[in-house]
Amino acid sequence: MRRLIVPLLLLAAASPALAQSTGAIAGQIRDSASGHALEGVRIVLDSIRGSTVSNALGAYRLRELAPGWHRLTVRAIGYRGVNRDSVFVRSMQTTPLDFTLVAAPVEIAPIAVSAPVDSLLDPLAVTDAQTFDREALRRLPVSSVDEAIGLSAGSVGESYRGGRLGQQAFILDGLGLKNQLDASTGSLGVRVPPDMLTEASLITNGFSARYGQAVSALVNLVTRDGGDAWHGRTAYETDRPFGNGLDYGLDRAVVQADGPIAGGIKAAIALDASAKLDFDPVNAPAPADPLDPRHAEPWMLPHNSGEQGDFAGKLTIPLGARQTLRLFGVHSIEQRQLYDPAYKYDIGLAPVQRTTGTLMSGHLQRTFPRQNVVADLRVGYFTRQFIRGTAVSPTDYSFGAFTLKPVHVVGEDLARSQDTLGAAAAIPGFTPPQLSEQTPYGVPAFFLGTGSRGDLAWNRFREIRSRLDVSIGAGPNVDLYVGGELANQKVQTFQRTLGYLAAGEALPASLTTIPGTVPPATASNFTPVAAALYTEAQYRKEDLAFTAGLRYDRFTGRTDLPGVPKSYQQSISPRFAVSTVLRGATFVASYGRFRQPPDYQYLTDAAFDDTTRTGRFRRGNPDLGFEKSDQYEFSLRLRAAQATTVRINAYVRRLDGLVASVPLGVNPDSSIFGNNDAGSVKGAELIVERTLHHGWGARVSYNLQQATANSTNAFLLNRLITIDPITHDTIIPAKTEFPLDYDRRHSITALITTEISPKGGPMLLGIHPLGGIEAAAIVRYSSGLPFSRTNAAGDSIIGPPNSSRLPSTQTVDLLLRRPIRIARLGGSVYLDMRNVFNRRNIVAVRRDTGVPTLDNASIQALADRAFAAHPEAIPFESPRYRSAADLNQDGMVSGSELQALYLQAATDFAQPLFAYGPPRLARIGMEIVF
Amino acid sequence: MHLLPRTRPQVLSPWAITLLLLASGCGHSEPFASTNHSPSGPFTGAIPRQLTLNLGSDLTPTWLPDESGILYSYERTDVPTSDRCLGILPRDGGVRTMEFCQLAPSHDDSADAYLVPAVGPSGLLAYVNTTARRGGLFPLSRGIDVATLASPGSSQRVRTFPYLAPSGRSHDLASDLSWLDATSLVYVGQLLNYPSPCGGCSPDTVASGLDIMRLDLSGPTPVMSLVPGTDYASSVEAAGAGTVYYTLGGDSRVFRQDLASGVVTVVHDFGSGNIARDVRVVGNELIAVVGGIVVFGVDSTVGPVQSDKGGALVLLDLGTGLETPVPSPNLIFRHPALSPSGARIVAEGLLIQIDTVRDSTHTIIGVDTTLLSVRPDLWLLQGP
Repeated sequence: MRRLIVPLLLLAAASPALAQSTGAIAGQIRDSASGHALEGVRIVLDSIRGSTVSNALGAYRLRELAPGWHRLTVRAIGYRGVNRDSVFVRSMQTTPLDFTLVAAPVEIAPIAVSAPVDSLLDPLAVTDAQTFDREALRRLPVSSVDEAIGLSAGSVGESYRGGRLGQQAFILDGLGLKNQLDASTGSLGVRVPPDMLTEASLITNGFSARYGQAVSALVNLVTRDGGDAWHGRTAYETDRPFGNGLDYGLDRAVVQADGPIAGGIKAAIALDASAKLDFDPVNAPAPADPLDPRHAEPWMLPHNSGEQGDFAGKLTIPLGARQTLRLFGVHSIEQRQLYDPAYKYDIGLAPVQRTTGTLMSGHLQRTFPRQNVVADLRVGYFTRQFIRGTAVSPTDYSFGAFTLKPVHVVGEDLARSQDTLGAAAAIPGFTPPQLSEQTPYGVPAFFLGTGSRGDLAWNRFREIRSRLDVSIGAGPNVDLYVGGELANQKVQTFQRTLGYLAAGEALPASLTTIPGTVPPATASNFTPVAAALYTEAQYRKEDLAFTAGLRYDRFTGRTDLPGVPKSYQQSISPRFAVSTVLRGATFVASYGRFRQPPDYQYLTDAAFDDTTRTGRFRRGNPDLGFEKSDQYEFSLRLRAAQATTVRINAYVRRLDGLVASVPLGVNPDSSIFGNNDAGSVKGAELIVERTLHHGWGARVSYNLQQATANSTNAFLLNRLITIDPITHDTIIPAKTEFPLDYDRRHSITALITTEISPKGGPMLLGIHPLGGIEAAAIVRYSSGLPFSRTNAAGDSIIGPPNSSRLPSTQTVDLLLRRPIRIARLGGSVYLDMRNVFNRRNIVAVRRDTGVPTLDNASIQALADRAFAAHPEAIPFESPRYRSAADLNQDGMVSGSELQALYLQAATDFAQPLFAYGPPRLARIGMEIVF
Repeated sequence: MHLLPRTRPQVLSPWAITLLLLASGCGHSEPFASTNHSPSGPFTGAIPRQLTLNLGSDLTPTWLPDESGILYSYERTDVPTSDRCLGILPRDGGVRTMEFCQLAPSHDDSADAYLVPAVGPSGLLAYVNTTARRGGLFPLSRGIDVATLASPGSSQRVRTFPYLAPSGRSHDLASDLSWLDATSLVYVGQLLNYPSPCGGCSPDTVASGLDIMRLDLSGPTPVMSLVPGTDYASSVEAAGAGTVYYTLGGDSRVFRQDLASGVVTVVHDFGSGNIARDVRVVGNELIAVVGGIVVFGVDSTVGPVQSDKGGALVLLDLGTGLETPVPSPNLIFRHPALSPSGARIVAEGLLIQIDTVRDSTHTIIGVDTTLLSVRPDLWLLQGP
């Protein structure tokens, strides 16, 4: 153990606190004969980087390094030089690397050496990160960064450690990135192709004071630099050959290449394009009624296709020996058709949406070896645009589900120009919806046709973010980090509902029984500014390491409201960590306060059917402040065996100022957003990892968690407020905490990888058909998420909020890969299967029944109500006439004949499609590596 | 996480490559699609054939110029306002292939009616469009609209009612729209009355023909003119650009007028007591409704009024003057339409029951006609 601790202490002497996007290499240089530390030895990194020299203890450190493979050259007068290739650097980690130099009176060629790398026990790595490198992303049965990050302990989809969606932020090559407009309900807008990444990691605690805009986690993405020679790969995968039941219309193509251009400039590019005819397949059971078209073809849903295209490129430009400029850009497009059960038989009228995002960033890094300073200047431009509405024209597929052209929606020009005046009239192109005539049942009930719902939503978020980070090696035991960032943002929104009607027009009786008028279009256009300053220091005292940071955040909200003075919110967030090495394990205790501005969508009015000026509305609050969390965590890392590591984390997070909708005035249906909710998350994680050794490796994580918060949601509060029967006082419920929506108590995730040696397995006709096969499996078990039961009308909660639980979910995913060689090119073919056992996981239920389905009595009641609304007979010449239902063949469907049709229609309409998770999915693919 | 080291491929696998290439060449499965669930043919095969079984009224059928279908006005029974829409039936009957209704939510509480459609030689569609308040008596808005058949909702109003006609009479509405040529049409200007059959009964709407009007749409502004000598006209039909056939209230004769010269000719007389109306002409064939349940009288306040429930269809050969009754037991008709080929007839039909009336000695002294339905359906009959 002593042999282990001493090098680590030496390492600690030279190790910095590391930013999320970079790593370091550190170690000691000794004389081979005497074992004395060598001072003044020059260590040169790569060909385009600066260098450093060892100090009096022989220690050296290279900081702020991009994760990935590096090459070190060590030279000293009177010693034989040493080259070390393939030094792998991970973000947030220091790679320890010691050198022993052999005295040589004359200069001779350097020799290559290797050194063991073990950064697990690094006491100054206070960050709790779960990382997937590029190779894992390629070899696991995952297709995107989001899917990989979702395998981390404590994650529920894109919710981390009990936080709601949007409480995380992204860091892309050290630059913060977030959809600050509607992260809680919308996507980021840009996706970095996995092939463009060096690694992706989820950081759930101890994140550096450098970063904010998140209260639950950071998703850290590090892109690759171009290599010294041109390499790349291309892959295509599809589910075409599998046919019905496994063919969901998937096609995906990936191209990646990187290499040198000229003058030391290196480039990396990646394209990842995928499309599915059913973008969101469900494992819902087939209906029993043969009239229902899903009865015969229960696999794919129509009008549910989607296509994504992600294009990324990066240039790494050396500017002299000390400076490196990195230019990165990524552009993403996602187009979706959104299946709407009401438009099951008039599918073209269901909504579509398009999201585009672009990020362009520049990163200039300069090193000052003598002063032991590294400065990083980053500037980024990010824009995300979203539109949803009714497609102007039918979808025209080019290849599979690829349309290769943008979808346009009715009223798009009005929305983009935020023309609320022009949108006051009925919007041309919209037609009022009618009860569909196209259904197998014919009856006028449940299903819509003729026109769409008339919704139109558009928004655009733009941001120019600049940040400067300076890291200073302030002596052998202290590292300092200072910096700041400034984000100039622009938010534009537009919403219009019931676009086939003029604003102010009375709501048609077919939509509501409550009198009201069509709300006007809403729009906002404002320019928030977010800024932050931080300082952080790391100090070592023998076997103890201390990290302390302080971050100042500030943001301005809406600036476009007449008569409302410009105001701002500000906050100071301290972060501390202490770590030490205890008998082969590293223990870290940390505390951090985290702040994030609320989604800007909550600063604006929302235009829904029940929105402003109709008596029922949700009003934006321009004075919303930060959402806050304070997290305390203890973590222990140890190496249980040569290839096995164990990590245990226990944490408590206090949440405060969470945005909630709270009652506004006396109208029980009116609400305004406020920072009113508070709660707590407590949990523990156990992560056991075995690197691939003797043909197999694994990572198993278990997460135990309890996430609760009080609820001031107007809907809930109105049901919880009671009147004392004796005193007639209003009794407002205490601030009791209820389970949060993402309170998943137990989750277990196991990643298992195996590999057969090239000569392994039986021999057949002189070859080993199973030789070289790699397999990776992901096994997941998750206990159910909470939900609230309501009465049949849906307007009253039964029992406390979120007091019921969905059933647990389980999946097994599998990837089999076999290397191949085509001419002089290598590659592989692979079979990727998700939910191998086709388990029907329930991911949602009806709040009134507590199960996905409606009970027979309720379906009958639905049918009866529909029949009562339209009891009229259907004559032969009507498109609604159905011969099979005309039992007496009198040319009229009437009476009991009609009632039977209404019951069939109600049963069809009540199908719980999206209550079920994905079915078994399969794809085969081939990749060529060049 | 670095789970797997990169391994070197060892074996050439042409079968795998072939499989992938084949896979990319396959087509994808298709999601389920909505199919047509309506019957493809007519309800019955016999002639006369009941084309519609609507519990509301099906009115004023007219043939499309290419005889591919029948355009008519039908009453919706699924809305409380009993709106009337335009629809197209296949030429042999079956399910409507086109429906045009007032669907704007702002009209949910009003009774909207599209009536007496007529398709001209250029494909233009003319129809009467009225809007009344739900439960109200008088239309709030009424006029003649012109549009294309492909897009009937994109219409232009070419005549608004009421107006004072050159005859000095006020026209409340129009019937018998008929295209003279591509840009002009004729119609019967009507007076609307709302008599109550009894004290406390709901008033009925009775339309009386007043004048035949010509509407010229060739200029920027529609020009309306009176066709002289058409007092109390009950029906009109254009036969080419310069000729109209028409009938008068209470009259058994069919007239033809040359619009250029104003010369009026009596084409045929169906005989005293047989009131002729709903005249239609195709080539040398003329069809009219004759006799039946029709009463012409002079109301003390509104003048001449013709109350008409329907009558027999009679074909007339304009060359020979030969009358041929269209056989139709237990039916009376209104508003017949001859197909462009003259081979088919479609008309509003009402079922009747005919009972013989006998005296005390059981001697037949007459017949009693009882209407079995009050809301007409469309019937297809064989032409000459």
